[in-house]
Amino acid sequence: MKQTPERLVSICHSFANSSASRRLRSVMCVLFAFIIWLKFVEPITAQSYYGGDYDGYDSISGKLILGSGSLIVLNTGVTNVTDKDAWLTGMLLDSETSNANVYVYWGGSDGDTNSDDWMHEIDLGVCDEDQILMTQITNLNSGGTYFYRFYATNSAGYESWADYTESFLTYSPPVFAEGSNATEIGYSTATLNGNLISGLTANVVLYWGSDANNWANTNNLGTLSPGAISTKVSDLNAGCLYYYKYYGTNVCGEDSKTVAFATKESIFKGGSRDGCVSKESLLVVGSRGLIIFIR
Amino acid sequence: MKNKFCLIAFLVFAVCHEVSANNITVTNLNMGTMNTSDKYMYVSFQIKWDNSWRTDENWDAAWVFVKFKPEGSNNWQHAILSTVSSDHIAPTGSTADAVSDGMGVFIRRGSNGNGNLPLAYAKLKWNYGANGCNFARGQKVYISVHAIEMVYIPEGSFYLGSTGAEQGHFYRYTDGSQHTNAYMVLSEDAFSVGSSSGKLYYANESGSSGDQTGVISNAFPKGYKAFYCMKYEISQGQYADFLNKLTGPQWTNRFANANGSERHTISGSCTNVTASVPERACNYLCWMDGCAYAAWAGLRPMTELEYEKACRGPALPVANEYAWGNIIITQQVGHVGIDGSGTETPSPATANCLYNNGIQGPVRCGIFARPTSLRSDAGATYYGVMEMSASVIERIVTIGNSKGRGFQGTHGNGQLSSDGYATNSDWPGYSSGKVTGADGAGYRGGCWSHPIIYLTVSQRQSATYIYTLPRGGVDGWRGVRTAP
Repeated sequence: MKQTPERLVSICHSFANSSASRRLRSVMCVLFAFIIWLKFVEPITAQSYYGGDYDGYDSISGKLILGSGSLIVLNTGVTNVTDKDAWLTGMLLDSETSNANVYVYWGGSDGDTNSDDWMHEIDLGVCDEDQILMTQITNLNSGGTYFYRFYATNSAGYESWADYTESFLTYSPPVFAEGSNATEIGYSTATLNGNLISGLTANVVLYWGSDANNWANTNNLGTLSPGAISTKVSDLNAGCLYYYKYYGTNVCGEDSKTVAFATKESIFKGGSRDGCVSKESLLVVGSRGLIIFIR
Repeated sequence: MKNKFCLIAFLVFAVCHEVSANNITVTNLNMGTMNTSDKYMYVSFQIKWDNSWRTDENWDAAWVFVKFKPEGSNNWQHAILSTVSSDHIAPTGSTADAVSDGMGVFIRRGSNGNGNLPLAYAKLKWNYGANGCNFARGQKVYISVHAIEMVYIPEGSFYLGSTGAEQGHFYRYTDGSQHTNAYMVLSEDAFSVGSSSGKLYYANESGSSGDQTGVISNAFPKGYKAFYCMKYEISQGQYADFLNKLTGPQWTNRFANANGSERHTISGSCTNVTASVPERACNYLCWMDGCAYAAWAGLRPMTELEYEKACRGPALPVANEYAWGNIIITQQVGHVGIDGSGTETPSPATANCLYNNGIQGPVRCGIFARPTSLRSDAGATYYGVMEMSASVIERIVTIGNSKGRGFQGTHGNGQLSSDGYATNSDWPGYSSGKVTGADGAGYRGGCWSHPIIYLTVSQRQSATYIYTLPRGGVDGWRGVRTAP
């Protein structure tokens, strides 16, 4: 039975009314309450109670003419980004009764609210209020940063720029850096390191095993942004040669880097002779690490 | 054992969560599309605030409502907004929650996160036909958009009573041998007060803690159900704004005329009121003033059960705790920066509360919360409501008498009587069609002039104390609204 807070509290109260000693009941009630708290009271966030200046109220008033033709256009995001094209989306929030002509300005730098400072202009024509605005921009550079901003004007003489300029990055093929290796190599474990240095995002899969042509293990790490990648693997055999590779794909391409490493030699290896040598030797026996000196 | 446990609870909660928000701004007001057949139009504006947050459990929000007045009229009315959330367009990255009576909308973050919400457009659908209006294109109308920062207090059980020794504190009665076991509120179901095993009970040493009996009905808001609470007490600028929307007879009954007394800075004449320090918590608010503001803004008074829920949240009680969940308190005795600028901070910098005449009057709303403060530093409740201990006193609906227990949690309808009173018949102080008294109301949380004994969450020394006029320099207000 799922223990809801109310259920647990009910148990707590039942116990409180039971025939157990008062002291024991008190202790158990507190214990129950603590369990309830541990199980159901999640912290709101891990950060502190921030605050700043001024108070928590504002208002604005004005005398407005109804149906007079206000105009508001918004940026609403970028979709379907590849290495060479993207769709810019916006919304004509309000055009009232006047026809609104909508434009989107874009380029490799931010032209703010000055149309002359933008590299490109796309005329979306006359649009309806609440209409989702979409347009594709092409011939972009792989791995480039681009900016855009919607603009509207109507026959009543109103004009509106979106609240702010938005920027985005285009994709580039994923690239893993050279030089990454396995670290923290033990008898049966190792940390396999990689470094995705390009690609905006890529779906990354880790392969590892003793045969680089026939991977024994895979782990899909999902969509990752560029950065260091580390995965700890276990169940390796001591003193063996292993390979691993991080493999990344995105809309622009794929890349992988294969790395070899060897696990530590086991000190428990057996042989044809006994352990008696002329010099002092050290053996570790059993899981508790008992140390025996043998002469 | 209890002490050790309380210490553990305190240590855990002291480092737990973040809540914040301040500096809300509304700008760039516009009228949008108008449909004269279906009698609706859109009101658009830009809104932003700082230090917003949202988690799975709780969040801050802006309670946004609209007032209007046709040109030539002197009567501001409350715009009835669409009750369908999807009819409104929230700012980018936010969501808009409509309410069933159309009194306003809650705007909050669209997903979990925290930080400043940038300035962005919102568009609210105003069903002006529901206001009985029949506007024509080209008609001139005064529009006023108001935004109040609120904190969402989620549904859930909580404790009444801190297990401490406050006067009149709530506790769970057993056999008369103990007076400190906290009482857990498990639902909004009715329950009784009395001296039998398992019931909620309290002492009445002061004579103002209550009649120690009665049934808390299903309708009485107990704090179990989710509600929104004003993050700060009403500021002086906020109250001045309200006064400027009133007619002459209304203004006459709601204007304290206390400029210069105990840091009160509201002055002026009808429709021309100003607060020279608008960010400062507003004092000289009697119960009727607070009720009038709440009714006008589509809010309602807070019950004393909701007060404890908003402070303590689901946490285990800490004996004699303040609103920030522990007993650590540092008195504010001055300011750093220019007092009244809106950017002043407390002195000493570690202060988390103004009490015992550290300063002779209220200070800026949210003054103790800084960009890096923890809950205790900020003087904040579990959920992030500010200044619930001290500052100006919290006025609440009591469960200590039948008038208070008759409260049913109705919200204001945005309008006042012709002479400026709230008209909700279930609100304390209601008589002959208006809230003209304070019978059923009480005090919680202490104030800037009180010694620390009165600041604790569970102190109920004056929980039923009936006081109307003259207005006091320690009296403030904070409204709430049941969550949609």
